[in-house]
Amino acid sequence: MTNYVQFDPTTGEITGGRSGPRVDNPTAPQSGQEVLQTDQRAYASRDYVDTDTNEIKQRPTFDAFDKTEIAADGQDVATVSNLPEGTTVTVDDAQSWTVDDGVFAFSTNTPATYTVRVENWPYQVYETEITAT
Amino acid sequence: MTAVTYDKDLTPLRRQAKAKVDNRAERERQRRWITPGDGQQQEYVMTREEAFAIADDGDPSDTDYPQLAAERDAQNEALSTTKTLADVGQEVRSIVAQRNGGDGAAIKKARRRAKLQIDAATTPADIEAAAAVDWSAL
Repeated sequence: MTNYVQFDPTTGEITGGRSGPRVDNPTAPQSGQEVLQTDQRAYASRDYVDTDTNEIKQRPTFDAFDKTEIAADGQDVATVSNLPEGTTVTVDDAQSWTVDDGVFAFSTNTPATYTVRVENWPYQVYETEITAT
Repeated sequence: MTAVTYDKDLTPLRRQAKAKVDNRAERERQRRWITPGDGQQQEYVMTREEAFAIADDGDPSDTDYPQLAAERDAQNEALSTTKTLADVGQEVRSIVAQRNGGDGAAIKKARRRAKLQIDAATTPADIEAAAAVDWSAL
C-alpha cells in the first residue's frame, strides 16, 4: 500500500490524502495542490511536507507555558518561551498578539479560565488553559 | 518579552446568563399557570377581564359575561355546585390576585434580582452563580 499525501506546495501543509495500491499517475490533486507518493503515514495535525526535499517531517512543537495557574492580580504571569519570530498568541478567540521577541507573558486581573492558543507554521498548534484565581 | 494583561470579556457571558434567566422564568410561569395554545390563552384573558368587570355590576347577565357563564355552567354541571356568575367572578379575581401578588411577583423578583446580580458580577463564576436561581423554592 502506498500513501498519497496531498499538500499545499507553498507551505507544505497537508490538505488531504488516501492509501491505495501504487499507481503511476495518482489521482489529480485539488487545484493548487500537489500529491506526494510515500510509504510513510502522514497526519495533518502532526506532519508537514518539507517542500525542499519532498519529505514528510514532523511539525515541531512549542515549549509549554511555565505554569497554567496564576493569581488574578495583574502581576503573576504565565510565560511561554523559545517562540519563533512571528508566533501568534490568541486568548479566548478574542484577542491576538504577534510575538517577535521569543517570549510571551500572560497576566490578568479577572479570575477566570482563559484558553490560549499558540500558532506559527509549521509548528503544531499549542492550546492550553490558564486558570486565574 | 511580549507581556500582556488581558481581562476576560464578560459581556457575552452576561448576555447568555440573562437569556438563561429569562427562559427559565418564562418556563416557570408556563409550568405554573399558562396552558399552551393561543386560543386558550385568549380565553383566560377574556375570563379575567369579565371577572373584574362583573365586580361593579349589580345585575350581571350571561350575555354580558359569556366566559364566566361558561365556567359557572361547567362547574355546576361537573361538580353539582350552585355557583352564580358573581361567585365565579370572585374566584377568578382571587386567582389573579394570587398570581400577580404571589407567584408572579416572586418570579419577577427572582428574575430581576438575578439579572441585576449578573450585571454586577465581575467574574465568570459570579455570573454563573447569579444565574443559578432556585426556581423550585419560589
